[in-house]
This record gives sequence, structure tokens and C-alpha cells, in this order.
Amino acid sequence: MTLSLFNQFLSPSLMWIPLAAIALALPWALFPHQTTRWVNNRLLSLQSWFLGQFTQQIFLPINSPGHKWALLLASLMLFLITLNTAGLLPYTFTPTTQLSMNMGFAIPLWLATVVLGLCTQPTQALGHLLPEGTPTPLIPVLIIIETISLFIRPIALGVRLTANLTAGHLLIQLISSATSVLLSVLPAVATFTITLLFLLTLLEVAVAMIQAYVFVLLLSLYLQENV
Amino acid sequence: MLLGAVRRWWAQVGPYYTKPYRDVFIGVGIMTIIYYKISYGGKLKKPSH
Repeated sequence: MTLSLFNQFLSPSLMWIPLAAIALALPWALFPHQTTRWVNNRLLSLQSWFLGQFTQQIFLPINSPGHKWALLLASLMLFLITLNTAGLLPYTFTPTTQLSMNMGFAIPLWLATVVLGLCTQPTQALGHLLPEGTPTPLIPVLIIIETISLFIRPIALGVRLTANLTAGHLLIQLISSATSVLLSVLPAVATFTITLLFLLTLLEVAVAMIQAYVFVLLLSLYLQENV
Repeated sequence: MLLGAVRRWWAQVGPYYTKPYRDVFIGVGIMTIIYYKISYGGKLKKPSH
């Protein structure tokens, strides 16, 4: 079977049983659940602290009706950051490299913010299509541009996450295959590629966490506009 | 036991699914239809030859 560089992104299956469900259930299995104890163990305390800090940070600029989304956005952040970072381990499948999954998150959540804005405060939601202080001759053009940018948002959200993770995984595969070839042929050049691979892996760990944060942050910004 | 677990789960998430997340289900429905159309081309059964 001829393998290409993109074979790592195929949804894994074992005898026609899709294993992507196991990959998606991993974040649920990794994190401990809340207990009824007054003082928890270190891991659970650290997890609770992180979630509390993150939720407070994200929801500080959002009005109180939007705080109902705290559970959704905090759990989405934890889910994405776990999938992204776990996907950097060798031989793991990263579900967030699949555009279908990322669009499955981006479109419903973006649409929910738009529908929420149009239902609760339609004048203000439509008012976002025209920035304040716009010169009168530019108003028609700017409304068209703002409408296009509104509809581009979910596509950008989904494609940003997909492209960043896919590109990172591809680069790691390219440079690691170059390294493995060069080790026997030109060891001196291989040391350079090994260093590059190490730095790239560090970058990809950062990108994995940042992209999950950016996804949730942008959703919170869209919520802030509409609530 | 299973029914009790489902009841406990619904007691925790029910208030979210019934009120704030209703807007999300519109998008979930739209995405389901889109994925169905892409995966199966709108056909329920493959034509048998």
C-alpha cells in the first residue's frame, strides 16, 4: 500500500470499527470528576483552579445573561486543548485535524450567538453591521463588507483550527522523515534537522494550546457582541 | 441503576439543554443535514443492482 503524507490524518478504524470515538472520549476519561469532598486531591484542585481562572478570564467582559455559556465554553476549551496536545504524541489520531469536526463546532456555536443576538436585542445585533463614525458615502459598502465578514466567521473559526493543526503535524512528519533519512547519509545535517524538529515540537505544543484558546476566545467575543 | 444515572445526569444538564443551548441545536440540526447530504448524497438506501 502506497502511503502519502496525508495518511496520518485518515480516521482510524480497526476491522471497520471506527476508532475515532475512542479518541473523542479520551478527554472525558483523562480528567477526574468533581467530588463532594471539601478539600480534594492535588490534581482535582489544580483542575478546578485552572477551570475557574479560565472561566473568570473569558467571561469578565461578557454581560450576565451570557454567563449561562460558561459551562459550554469551559468544557469546549478543555476538550480542544486535550485533543490538540494528546495528538502530538506519536501514533495518536488528532480529531481536530478533521475539518468536519471543527466546522461541527464552529457553525452551531457561531449561529447560536447570532440567533441569540437577533432574538434578544435585534437592533443592536443589526447595528453591529455598521461601525460608529462611518462616513455617509461609505455606508452601503461597509454594510456589505460587515455582512460578508459576519458570514466568514464560522468558516474562519473551523478552518483556522484545522489548518494550524494539520500544518503542524505535516511539518513534524516531513522534518522527522528527513532526519531519519539523513542520519545514515549526512549525520552533520541530521543534527541540524533534529534541532529543528525539537524546536518545531515545542512550537506545536504552544500552537495546540493557543489555537484551542483562540477558538473559545473568539466564540466568547461573538457572544459578547450579541448578549 | 442506569435510569438513576440518566436522571442524575439530566438533573445537572437539563436546565442548560432546555434553555440556553436551544440556539445551538438549530446549528446542530443544520450540520446534521449537511453531513447527511455530503455522506449519503440524500439517498437513504444504496440502489441494489
